[in-house]
Amino acid sequence: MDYFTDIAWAQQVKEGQRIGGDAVFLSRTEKDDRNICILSDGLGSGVKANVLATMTGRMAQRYVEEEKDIIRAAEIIMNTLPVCRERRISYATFTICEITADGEARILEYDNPPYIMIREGRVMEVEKIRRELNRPSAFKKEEILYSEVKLQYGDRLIFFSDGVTQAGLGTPGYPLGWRQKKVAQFIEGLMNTDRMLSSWHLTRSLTRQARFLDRGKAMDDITALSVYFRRPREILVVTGPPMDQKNDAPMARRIAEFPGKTVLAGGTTANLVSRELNRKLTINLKMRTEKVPPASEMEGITLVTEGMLTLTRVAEILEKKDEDALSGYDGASRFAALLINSDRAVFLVGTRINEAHQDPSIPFEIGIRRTIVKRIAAALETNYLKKTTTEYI
Amino acid sequence: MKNIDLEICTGTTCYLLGAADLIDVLENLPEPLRERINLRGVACEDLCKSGSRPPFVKINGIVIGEMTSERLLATLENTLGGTTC
Repeated sequence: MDYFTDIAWAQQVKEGQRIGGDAVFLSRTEKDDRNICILSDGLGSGVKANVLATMTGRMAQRYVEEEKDIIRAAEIIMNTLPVCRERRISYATFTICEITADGEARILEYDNPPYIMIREGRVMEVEKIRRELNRPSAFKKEEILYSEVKLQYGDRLIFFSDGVTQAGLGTPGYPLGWRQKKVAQFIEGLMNTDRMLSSWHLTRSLTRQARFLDRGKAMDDITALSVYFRRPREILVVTGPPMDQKNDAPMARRIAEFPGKTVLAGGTTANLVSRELNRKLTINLKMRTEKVPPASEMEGITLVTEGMLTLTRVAEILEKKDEDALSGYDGASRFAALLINSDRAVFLVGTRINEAHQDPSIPFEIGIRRTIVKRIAAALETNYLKKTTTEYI
Repeated sequence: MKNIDLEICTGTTCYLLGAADLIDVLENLPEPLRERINLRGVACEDLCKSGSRPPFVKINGIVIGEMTSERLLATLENTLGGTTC
């Protein structure tokens, strides 16, 4: 089964706080290709809550990475972490989601709002096993919920903190907050508009709507995490002319025949492909910024950009997770957004040296193409859990 | 009145060494003048190997290197007649 697990999260921090009291941890195990997602909500808000949520989340992540049973992991965490002296409840709530390489999802929930499972665009109820914990120090009865889902193409699991369900609390429209049912309806609405919506967009729509209901000022930390199990979306990035000119034609053919999206980064590369495929290259002088040269258009190619300056900016956006930059119209913003909305990226890097870049009067050093592509690939894998491959020609 | 074909190299080196400013200047020309220029960006054509230096523009097919905003305005003035600013 050829699939990709598209995972992303978004957060709106409580108004007046600089740091969220909700923490999210995502990782993929190298050995057995499992995806692990943790959402933890620390008591209170700000730095203290963040520390609590981080401790809880990290512990959960480590245990699951080490292949501990997640129910057992949850019990260990709860027995290890103290309860709040004043309130006699745990310091942090958490949800653990583990997805195996063959699409088996195991979810453990402790006191976060129930997750929403979407199949074929509608909410699907999932059977959950309740398990009570009897900690002597705890004030109330504590229970954890465990569920398992065999994921199918198009399935989604959506997790969120209570900042989402309680959004709008006390307002005339939502005296008791947004609440679980309305959140589910909102997500179904998103599915009606775009069944293929990426996790990145879904989580942002959800957290923005919650903040909107809070009248533009988040009353609590608002966090959403989405898992979308889908056929992989592929993107081919070609940058730099091949070392050996006799590879020009095969490279151009590969671009023309690629089943997914295609990006050409570099003027020489673009000219080469334009010549080989006999397709006109049109530069769009509006698609630029002071630092990013204009992008261009070519029939059948998703995006054509300049090379090194654009790639450097793409690396910066992805490394810093600069999401504001993604709505920009210039080549680098569009490029970064395309990468984020794909699941697998293939980088085809030409290794012919560009003599123009050897000009001693250039005011700063233009990096080495390979180094920058490596930075982009690393940021995609680490920050966005994408899969990448790089080939040199 | 004759129009001008103006190609501007938007390659990395040209852009870094001044093409960005040239595009700014051209886009901010008064409308009657701007309309008379067929402005087109081109990808790097290896003009830097020609002996002259970036940034490069091509005015009616003639390659000119080391272009600056001042020189560009002066050239447009000469070619189009009248003053540009």
